[in-house]
Amino acid sequence: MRLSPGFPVRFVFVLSALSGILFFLLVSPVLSLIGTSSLSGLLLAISNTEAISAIALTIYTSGLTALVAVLLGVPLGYLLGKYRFPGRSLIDSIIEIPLMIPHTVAGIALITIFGSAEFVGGIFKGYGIRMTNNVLGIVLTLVFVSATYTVKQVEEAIKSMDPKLELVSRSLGASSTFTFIRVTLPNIWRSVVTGAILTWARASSEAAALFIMAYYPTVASVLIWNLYAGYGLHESISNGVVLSPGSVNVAALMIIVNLAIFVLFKLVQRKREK
Amino acid sequence: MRDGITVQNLSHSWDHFSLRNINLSVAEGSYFVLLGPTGSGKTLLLEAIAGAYRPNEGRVIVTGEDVSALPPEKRGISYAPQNYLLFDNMTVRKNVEFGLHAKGIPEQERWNRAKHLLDLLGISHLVNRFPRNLSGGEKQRVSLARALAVEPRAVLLDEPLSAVDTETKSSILDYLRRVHKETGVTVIHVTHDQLEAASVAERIGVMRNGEMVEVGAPAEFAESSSSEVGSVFRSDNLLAGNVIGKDAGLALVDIGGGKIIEAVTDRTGQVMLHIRPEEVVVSKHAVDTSARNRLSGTVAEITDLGPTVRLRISGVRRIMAIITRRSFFEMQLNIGSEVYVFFKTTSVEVL
Repeated sequence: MRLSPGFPVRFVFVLSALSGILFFLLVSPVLSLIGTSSLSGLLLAISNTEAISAIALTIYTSGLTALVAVLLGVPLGYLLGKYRFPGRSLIDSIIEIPLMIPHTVAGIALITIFGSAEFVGGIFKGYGIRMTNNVLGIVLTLVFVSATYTVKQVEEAIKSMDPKLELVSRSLGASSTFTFIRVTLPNIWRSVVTGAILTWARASSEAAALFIMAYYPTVASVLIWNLYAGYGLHESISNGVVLSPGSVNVAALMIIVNLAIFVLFKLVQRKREK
Repeated sequence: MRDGITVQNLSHSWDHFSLRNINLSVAEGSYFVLLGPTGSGKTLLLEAIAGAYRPNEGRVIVTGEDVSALPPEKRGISYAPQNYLLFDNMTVRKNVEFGLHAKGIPEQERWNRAKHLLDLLGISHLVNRFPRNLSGGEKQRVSLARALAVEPRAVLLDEPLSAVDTETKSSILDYLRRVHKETGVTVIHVTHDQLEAASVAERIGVMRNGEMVEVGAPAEFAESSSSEVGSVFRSDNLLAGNVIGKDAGLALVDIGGGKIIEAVTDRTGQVMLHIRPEEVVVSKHAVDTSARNRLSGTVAEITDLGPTVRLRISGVRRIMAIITRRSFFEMQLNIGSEVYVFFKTTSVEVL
C-alpha cells in the first residue's frame, strides 16, 4: 500500500495505539467470557430450564419495553424536535435523568411510586393490579432506564428533517395525522429503529433496578448474579443434580443470543434499505 | 376579473426580520411573480399564504374566502418549495397522486388525473422511479405535477429554477407557461432573477427588506426609467413585444412605434425581448451592417463605469448600451446626441 504524501504517519500511529487500548478493554472481556465457558457448559445452560426461561423472559420484556418506548417515545420525541414551547429544554433535560443516576437509585425511585403501598402502585393495587415483581414491574423498570434512547433518536431525526416537508404535504390537503403517518414516519423510521434497538439493548442489560422493583420473575441478568453469588463462575453439580449451570455459561449463552438478535435485526434493516 | 389571492395589511415580526404591511392582489388565473433579492422576505410571504404560520396582523383571502385562520390543508393552495422536497419513500406516481390519496379519491380517478399532468409535463416515463433517481429538472416537473394534481385554487412556486442548469431552465419555463395556460390556475412564483420574472410574469411584485415596493406588469417595469422599482430593470434592455409573423424563419416582433425587431424564436403572441447592453452597437450614422435590427434615439443619460460607459438612449423604446470609454470619446457623444443603435438578431433573447 502506498501512502499519500499528506498522510500523517506518526499522528495516526498515536491515535491507533490509543484506540487499540480501548478496543482491547471493550472486546477482551466478552471474548474471554465466551472462551471461559466450554461447549459442554453452554449445552448445560441450554438444557437448564431456569436459565432458558430467564433468557426468554429477558428477550420478551426488553422487546415489550422497546415497543412501549416506540409507542410513547415517538410522540414525545416529535413534540420536542418539532416545537419550541416554554419548558421544552427543561423536559429535554428531565428525560435524560434516567441515564445519569445509578441503577440502584433508579430502582428505589421506581419503588417509591409504583410500590404497592405507594401512590400509583396503591391506586392500581385497588384494582387488583400489582406493579412490582411481575412482568409489568419489569417493563416499568426497563422503560424508565431505557426509553430515553428512543426519544432522543426521534427528536434528533425530527430536528434534522426539513419542516417544509410537512407543509408541502398539508398544502396538498393532507391532515396532520395523514402527513405524520405517510410523510414524517417514513422519513424518520431509521432513527425510530435505531432508538428501539438501543432501548432494547439497554433494557436487556438491566439488573440493579430490577433487584428492587422486580426480583421475580427472574430475568437473565438477575439469574446470572444469583448463580455467581451462590456458586461462583462455573457449573456446580452434586450427585447428578445440577445446582448451577454456571454463571459464566448462562452469561455466554445470553451474549450469543443477544448478538444473534442484534445481527438479525441489522440484516433485516439493511435488506429493507436496499 | 375576481381576485385569486389577496393579502391585506400583512405584518409579522421575527427576531431579526419583519414583513411590513404587505398588500397584494393577484387576479384569479393570473401568473404573478414575487421578485426581490435574497433575504427580502419573498419566501416568508409565500409561507404566510400557504399557512405555515399565522401572521401577527393582516389577512389572506383566497377567491373571496378569508383563510387566515385555516390550517394549510384547508386552504386549497399547493406549495412547491425551492428544494422540491419530493417524498423520497414514494414513486413519482405516488408523489403526484399524494394529495388525491389524502383526499380519499379512488385509485382509478387518481391515476386519470395524475396521468394527464404527467403527460402534460413530459414525465410519464418516470412514474415508477423514485425521486433519488431523478435529475433536477425532472424533480421540478414532478413537484409541479404533485402541486397541480389536487386542482388547487392557487400554486405557490418558490424559486422553481434555482437548482437547475441554464438549459433546463428555459424548458421548465416553457412548461410553466404551458401548464398555466392549460390549467388556468393562479400562480405565485418567487424568484430573485429579473429575466426569469420578465419571462413568465403577467404581473410582478417587487419586494425589498420585508416590504412590497411596487407592483406592475413586466412591460411597465422595463419602460420605467425613474421609479425606484425600475432600477431592477433599469440598467438592462427588456422590450415587450408581439410576434406578428415570420420571415425567412425569423420571428418579427412588433415593439410599438412602427418598429419591428427580428428574433430567433418559435414563440407567438406576447413576448419579452432581452438584449444585453454590451451587445448593442452605437453609431452616429445609419451605416449598413450585418446586424438586422436598427433603432434610433437620443442620448439621455451617461454613466461612467470606469473603462466603459453606459448610455441610456431614448427613442421609440429606451435602449441601454455599454461602450468603451475610448469609443465614447472618439464619437464625441453628449446628452442629446442623435445616435443609431444596432444589435444582431442572434443577440435578441426571447424570454
